[in-house]
Amino acid sequence: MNVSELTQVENRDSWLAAIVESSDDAIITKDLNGIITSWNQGAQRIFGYSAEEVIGKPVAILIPPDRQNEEPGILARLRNGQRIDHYETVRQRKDGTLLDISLTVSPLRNAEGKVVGASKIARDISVRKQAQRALRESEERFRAVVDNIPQMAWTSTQSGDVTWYNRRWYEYTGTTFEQMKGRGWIAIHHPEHLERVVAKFDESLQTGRVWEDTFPIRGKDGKYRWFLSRAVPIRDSAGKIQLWFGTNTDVTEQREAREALARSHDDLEKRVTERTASLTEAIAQMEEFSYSVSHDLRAPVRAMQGYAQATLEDYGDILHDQGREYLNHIVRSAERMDRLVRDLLTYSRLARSELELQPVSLDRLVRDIVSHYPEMQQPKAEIITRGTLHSVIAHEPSLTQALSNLLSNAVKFVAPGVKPEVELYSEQQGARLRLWVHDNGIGIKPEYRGRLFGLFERIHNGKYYEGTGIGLAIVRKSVERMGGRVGMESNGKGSKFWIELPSAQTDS
Amino acid sequence: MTDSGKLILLVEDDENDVFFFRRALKKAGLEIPIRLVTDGEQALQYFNGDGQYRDRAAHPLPDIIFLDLKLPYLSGMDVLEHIQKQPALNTIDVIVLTSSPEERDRKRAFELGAKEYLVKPAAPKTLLQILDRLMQPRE
Repeated sequence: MNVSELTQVENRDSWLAAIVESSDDAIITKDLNGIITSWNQGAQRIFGYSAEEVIGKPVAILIPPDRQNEEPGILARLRNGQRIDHYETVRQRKDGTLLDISLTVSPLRNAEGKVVGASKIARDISVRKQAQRALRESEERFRAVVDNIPQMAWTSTQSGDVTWYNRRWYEYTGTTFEQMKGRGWIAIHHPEHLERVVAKFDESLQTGRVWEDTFPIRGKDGKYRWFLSRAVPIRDSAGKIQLWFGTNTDVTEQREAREALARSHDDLEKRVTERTASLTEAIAQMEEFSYSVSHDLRAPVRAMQGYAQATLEDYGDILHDQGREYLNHIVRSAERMDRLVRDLLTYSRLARSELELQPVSLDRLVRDIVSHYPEMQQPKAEIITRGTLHSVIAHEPSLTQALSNLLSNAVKFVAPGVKPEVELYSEQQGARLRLWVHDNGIGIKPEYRGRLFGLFERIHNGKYYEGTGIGLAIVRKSVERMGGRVGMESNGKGSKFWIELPSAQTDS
Repeated sequence: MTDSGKLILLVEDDENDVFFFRRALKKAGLEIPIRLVTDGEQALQYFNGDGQYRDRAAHPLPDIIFLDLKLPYLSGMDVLEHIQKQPALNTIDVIVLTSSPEERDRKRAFELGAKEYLVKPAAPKTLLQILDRLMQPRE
């Protein structure tokens, strides 16, 4: 070897040494007894020992106690000139922590070719191992979850071939993976739904859109149950669909409950319809009855009254005073009976008729009513309005009825010889309007006020004041049917009746 | 009034009401001849000249009808409907005379062409007013 060759050799040695030193992997040599003979920077980084600390020490110091039996085997293979490639094992750092390594051990031979030691290249694979462990644990957790959820679950390829089912699937269907793999699931679908289900599933596979459908799947008992089924595509980082993850949720009970609800809803509607029909019929019968009452009951009364009147007119002059008086009693009683029947009809009609409400001007209504009744006009009586009475929301015929009754009471119940004076005024009470009817009549004792608006209640003596006892009941019924209220006050100087109804004013 | 040449047809099943009607007319001083039928079917027979009413000379068409609503067989409303449909009866004035004060009856009667709606008993004064108006020569 000349100088230049020597230089070349030296150069080559230092070049190789540089490669060894700069390697991330641990590169160690040992003799056949397992004693460390060289130790690079990578070894120091991975194991924590410096070269000074370990050269001359047995390599066993790198081996955790539970793996000490590996070394004799490795050494035996080396002596036979065999290599050990990418042997994944665990080693121990100087600080005692363990690390995963991939080990390649090659025999070192001398110039005669005899094995004198070994080179070990150890690569730290703890990060990769960690990732593998994490993945395995994650998969185990996933399996644990999907095997224990109440839903059936599965994965399929992009072509719709199922590659895995969860435990619940096998429990419910009583099938095996061999039967179900690929498109084996078709076998346990209901024939009436299969075509639609497959078409929709295939459409989702093509478009990559989430699949959702509800259909029956046959259980191991041969009975079908309904499942809400969903599958979502799982994509890789490039957006390509890797697989589909699907679930089938048993919705049989919800469906049955919904159907039961729909049935009971239908039943209810049917019952309401029937009930309405029978009510309508009852009302129709009631109408018929009222009509008959108004016609048939009043006819004989009218006849009694008419004949008594005719007798008075035609034969009054040949009767004694007492005879005429008796006939007058018949006429008056018949008139009263007729009025009672009519009032009762009015009352019963009020209770059942449908009322269409609209704005009604109280000022106009009062004028109309007064113009119909001579006893409310001068010189017999005076009805004055204080200010504008405004408008209310009401059913005009019913309100006319109510107000006519109040006004006719107001001019009727006065002390003998007193000219009735009635004052009307209204006041806004929030969204309502209260119409006051203040008379100068005989008033009502407080103890009778509770009975005032009852049917057939008469507070005053019929000998002096005519009445059927239905008038105020009609007032209350009609006002209440229009969503209003009635009431009265009396302070010894006449009575103050009021009617309260929704106001038609929108701006006050 | 006595020689107005007008004829009234009274459609009424209640004898008492027939009596009161005649009496009211008389008290009003109206001596208009009255023909009487006592149910809705008879009224139609009268109009059509059927059965006992075949002789039109003996049973001429009336100028005015006083019509009760509650009648045996065909009701007063049915009779009104029939009259409305027959062009030959269009010149007859129909006055409903009923014991029903019901608003819907009043409304229905006017819809079916009634000229007046009176609730029994008809006062002589009212009859006089109405008949006076109806007997004015028409334009």
